[in-house]
Amino acid sequence: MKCRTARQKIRLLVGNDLAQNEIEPVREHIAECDPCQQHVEDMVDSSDVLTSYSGEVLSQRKTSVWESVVDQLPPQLEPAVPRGRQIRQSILVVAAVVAISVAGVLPDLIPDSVLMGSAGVQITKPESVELPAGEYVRHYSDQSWQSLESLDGMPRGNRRGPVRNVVGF
Amino acid sequence: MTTSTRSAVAESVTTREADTDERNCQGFNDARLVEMTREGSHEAFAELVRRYESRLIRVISRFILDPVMVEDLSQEVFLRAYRKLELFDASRRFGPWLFQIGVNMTLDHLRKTQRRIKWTLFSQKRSEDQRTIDPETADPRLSLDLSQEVRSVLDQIPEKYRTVLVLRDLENFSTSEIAAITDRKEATIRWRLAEARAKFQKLWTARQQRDSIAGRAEVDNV
Ligand SMILES: [Zn+2]
Repeated sequence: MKCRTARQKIRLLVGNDLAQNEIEPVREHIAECDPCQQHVEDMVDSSDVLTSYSGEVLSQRKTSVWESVVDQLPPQLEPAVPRGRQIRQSILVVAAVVAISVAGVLPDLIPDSVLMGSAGVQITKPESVELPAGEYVRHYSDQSWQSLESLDGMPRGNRRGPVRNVVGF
Repeated sequence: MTTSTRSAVAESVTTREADTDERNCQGFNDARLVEMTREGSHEAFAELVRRYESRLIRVISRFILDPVMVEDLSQEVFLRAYRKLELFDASRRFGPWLFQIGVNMTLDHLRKTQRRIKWTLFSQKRSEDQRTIDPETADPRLSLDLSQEVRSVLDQIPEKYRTVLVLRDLENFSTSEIAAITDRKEATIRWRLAEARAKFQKLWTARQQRDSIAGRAEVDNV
């Protein structure tokens, strides 16, 4: 065994991390090699230091961290959704996002009928907005919601954002 | 029955139910507790927290000195584990998975604050030491006790070796557990462990020699 290999194994041996069948050849090498014998002593010394440090009492708590953790837990873990349903749901979400983005980014490039076609995506009503049921677009200047009825006659280029059906919020 | 009596009874029933839950949970293994948590039982997760918190806090403390930060981080680890529980592969053991989250979050935290940590470590060493040191006349190194000296040597060891050394030699995880925690092969862990021990030995010896030279110089100057 070469000294380099022996030393690598000695470093494992000091912590009992050497497989049983690897120990004997290392012992044989150490018995005949003074520098490796010295390496054993150095490694045992520094291992003792780590052992005494490992026994040091670290921070002790009187209460469980659970008391703080429980306050921050979501009310209930999301129930596991069967794989097939998960994929179908993802497809629906992606479709909805694409519909909203297309309508929002390209209002001027697509005809009114298509723009209207993206409507009907279920959206969450913004907290601050009070709107009766109907069809809406965002006004390009101040981003306020305008009902389609009130925009009759406004040039299409002035409209921005997705058309949204606000139904029974 | 008066309203207050009724509410007192209700409270005692709730308390008894909670106690029962807690007692029931203690008898389950980790895998069952994970399953129960997934089904919505907070008490099952509480039992997992109680089982692992001491060791988790110990491990984090090996890397981070500030006890407030250690506690914050341990809470965050449990919260993240809770949120990720749906992704946990039930064929694996919960402990190593939890410690994987813990070690990763701790090392992330260390990396983010590495610069600041150096300064904090130094100032904490100074403030933790009850003796007053006159910086003009004393070498602060001489006032450090063993654990602080070991810590400062560990700090000099590159992260990937230090992590293995801390988990094996200070926290007594097996090399196969460390492999699971760090998501590496056991052979890699064994190799890193041997390297880490060699690095610690070299740095420790160098430090002891430097200290003894400094001590001799001080005696000569008296
Ligand atoms: Zn040799």
